[in-house]
Amino acid sequence: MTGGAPAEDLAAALRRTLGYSASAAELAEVAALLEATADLPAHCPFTAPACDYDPRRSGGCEE
Amino acid sequence: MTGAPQPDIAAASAGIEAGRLSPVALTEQALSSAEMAAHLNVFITLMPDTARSEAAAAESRARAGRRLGPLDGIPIALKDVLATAGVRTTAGSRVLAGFVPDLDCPVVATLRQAGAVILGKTNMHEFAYGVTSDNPYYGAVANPPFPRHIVGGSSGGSAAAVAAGIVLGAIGTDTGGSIRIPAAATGLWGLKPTHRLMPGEGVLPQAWSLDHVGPMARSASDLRLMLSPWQAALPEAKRTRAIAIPADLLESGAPTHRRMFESLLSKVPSEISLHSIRLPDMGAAYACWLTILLAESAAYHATTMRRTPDLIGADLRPFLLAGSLISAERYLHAQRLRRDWTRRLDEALGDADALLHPTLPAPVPARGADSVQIDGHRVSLREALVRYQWPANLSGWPALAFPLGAAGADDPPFSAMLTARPTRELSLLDLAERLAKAAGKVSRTTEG
Repeated sequence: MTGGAPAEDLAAALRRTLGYSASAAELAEVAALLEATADLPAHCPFTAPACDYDPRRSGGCEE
Repeated sequence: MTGAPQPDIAAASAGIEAGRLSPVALTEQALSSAEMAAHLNVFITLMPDTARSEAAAAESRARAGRRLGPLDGIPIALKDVLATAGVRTTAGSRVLAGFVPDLDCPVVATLRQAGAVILGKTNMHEFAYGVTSDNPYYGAVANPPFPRHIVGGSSGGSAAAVAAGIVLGAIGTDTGGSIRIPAAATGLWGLKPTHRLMPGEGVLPQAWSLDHVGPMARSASDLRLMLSPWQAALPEAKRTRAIAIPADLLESGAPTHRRMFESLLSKVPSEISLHSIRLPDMGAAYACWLTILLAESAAYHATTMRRTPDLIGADLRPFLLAGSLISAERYLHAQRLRRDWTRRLDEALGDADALLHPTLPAPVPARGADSVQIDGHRVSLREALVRYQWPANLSGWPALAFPLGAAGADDPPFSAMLTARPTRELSLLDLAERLAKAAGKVSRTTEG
């Protein structure tokens, strides 16, 4: 789900995933936070596993 | 401040070694200072009994000429996310108010093996999810040297414990600046080391792949000593010849604050060359960091959010709700893109040894402020203070916040941040000392 989703969709998703009834103010904050993640590219250019991240190696997946 | 000023770690350690200073007396002074400072809400749990027995053991070792190292007999404090055997570990929350771990986490075990005297567990923003350390259950942490300003967070109690002169060093954690922001607010040195240099096991997480454990102290030499139990994993310091200045970060800061930083740059020693660079794809990188932060913290708190959400503070609940709606696909994309971005950061740094910029995009906000003015725009406190922090959490590279010049009568000194490639902590500390010495006093302003 992304920040562009209508508030009623966010509310329904939160009831489904957590059984939580969010207030209108909470829904607005949730929408803003999800919107702030929207710049994440839709596709990863690499095919390496995602689980081997080691920040002490500065190189990319091809190493 | 509280009571008589404490010596720094190096001086205290030398005093203990020479028999001039008693760890027991040092610890009694620290406990007395902590009690006098109760109104500052620095500690959640003081540990007087174990601190006294640890100090007595350190004193016996010192008398027998068998000290365990430079931290033996030195009073320190721990952020209340580090598991301590038999001592409650709350993460500043109501959820874990009664949680008493069976074991010390590895960082605490290592510090005990080095002889450090653990005075207590420090107050913090609830579950490390904020930048003020205004805790609804354990009180708002004050900024002892600069009471008109926020203390910062989330490791606000650790910073306050050192800045108030209660302890000589403290341990904090940093997922998006939680060591560096309070260090800047209190005029301290705060190091977010390379990811997992200090292990994260047994440390209650905010977002485990972004969380870093690190020390806070009053000087570079004290940070070196706090880091000494983990120093074997680090190469020796290398003399820095080139520094990169991230132009895009500076452009997103308050103009007057940027000018103060530029006045600092004019004082960088001439043997160090300065290069302006642009950091790669900051929009996507921020989305990566935020996606990982939200998803991991939502996963950690999912059971509580399903069963007893009212036990979690209202200011952090929206983050956990948003995180619960992030798909596994987007989380995994974020973790993959993180590696690619870190590789491009390495390329952007080029021949430079370190990145240098202000720790914060604007002066330390006043206590009670909920936003910061940056270039005519009102920015939320959280967004403003995290703005320069998250890149080093995403990359896992070490980052050091350090004061430059003298503090004003009521204002913290200007704080700068250095970031370097993994394991270059000792080079960063040397470089920061050189810059601080060269900079002298940077003129102050409180305008955004």
